[in-house]
Amino acid sequence: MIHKKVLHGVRHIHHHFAPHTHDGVQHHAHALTLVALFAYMQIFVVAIGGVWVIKMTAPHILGAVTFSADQIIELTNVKRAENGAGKVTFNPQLAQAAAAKANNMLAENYWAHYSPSGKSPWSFMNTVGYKYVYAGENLARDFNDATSVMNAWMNSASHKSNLLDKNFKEIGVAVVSGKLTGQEGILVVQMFGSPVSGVNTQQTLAQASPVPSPIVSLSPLVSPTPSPVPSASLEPTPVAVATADVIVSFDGGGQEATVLGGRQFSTTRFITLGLVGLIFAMFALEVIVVFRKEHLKLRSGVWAHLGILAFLLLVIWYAVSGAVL
Amino acid sequence: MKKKHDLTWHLFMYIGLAVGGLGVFLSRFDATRQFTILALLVLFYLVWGFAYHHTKGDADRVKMLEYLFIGLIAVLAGFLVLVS
Repeated sequence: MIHKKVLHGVRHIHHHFAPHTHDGVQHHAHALTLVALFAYMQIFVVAIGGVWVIKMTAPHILGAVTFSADQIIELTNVKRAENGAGKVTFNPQLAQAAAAKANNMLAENYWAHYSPSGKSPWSFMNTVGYKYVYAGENLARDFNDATSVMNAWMNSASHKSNLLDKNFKEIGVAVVSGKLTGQEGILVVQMFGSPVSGVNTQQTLAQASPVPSPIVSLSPLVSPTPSPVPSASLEPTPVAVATADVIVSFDGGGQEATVLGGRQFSTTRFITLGLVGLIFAMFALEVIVVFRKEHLKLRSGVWAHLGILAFLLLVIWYAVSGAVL
Repeated sequence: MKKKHDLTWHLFMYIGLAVGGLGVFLSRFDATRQFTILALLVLFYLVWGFAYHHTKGDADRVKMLEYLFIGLIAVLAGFLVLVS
């Protein structure tokens, strides 16, 4: 009696997850019927709504994220040391320029090297009186820690080129929190420079173009065109100095930021991988069972479903919580 | 002949997914673009499913709804992780 009940239970579970025949008619797994698929869809709708409500009402539930400009500078020098590039030293004027750029991005609500009103990264350096021969800028947003920011930059050829450029001698970083293009998060502005005083003005200067182009500053300033493709020019380049002489002392703004909701990405990624992985596994099980049992026939369309679900799993698996520019 | 027909259709589908995969890889650190590619791939999957089953002559309401629900699951899951 107990044996029969156990067998019935096992068969019942088997019917939920694998194709089977009932009265000579083939049925696919109950967990893959239209009703079940509709239910999975509703789980995602509820999850999206839930995340939105939590973000609006109690974002602390999703954890807090804090990191600082010092950590970015330290990691930058670690990467430069690993790759034989010289150490860059902190320059308060560059930090001031980076903070001004970050605040301008939040104020004008843009995610770009150039502001909608036409401000270039170099204009912020000129405003604080930083006189440079080479300059470069890296941007990052919505990462949960400084290491992730650095990994993202190192995985992008043009950003890596900036990080490891031997022409750069000084660095300034701003880490600020705020709402950018509708999303609350942490924004990182990293500015590199090579000060005029540290360069022999008679030497031939190669011009390289990471993100955006390091430039030779001119007076008046000429805005360069950002180009992700490194280029080189061996033409002798005259060195002129930006005229702005206003020296603004660094007030410490943009040194550290905290944002709530830091665990949102890892949580939603975990839920999605679990549920989509389960659906994928059930379709895969259908293929395996049908191939092993000759009396069963594979439904048309299953290979296509497996394809799109595998693609989705890959997208989610390799997704990162942040963007670089 | 029927098997060859099926193989050609599925090859086309998987080439489309591979191109999409390349697009997603090249758009690392740009979640919005990744989501756009995912949405376009889902659209491709739906059109492919409709065309494939009509050509095969076995299209019915249940099959089309199955494609639609799986496509919507993919879009919603992508939105939850990449956009929300």
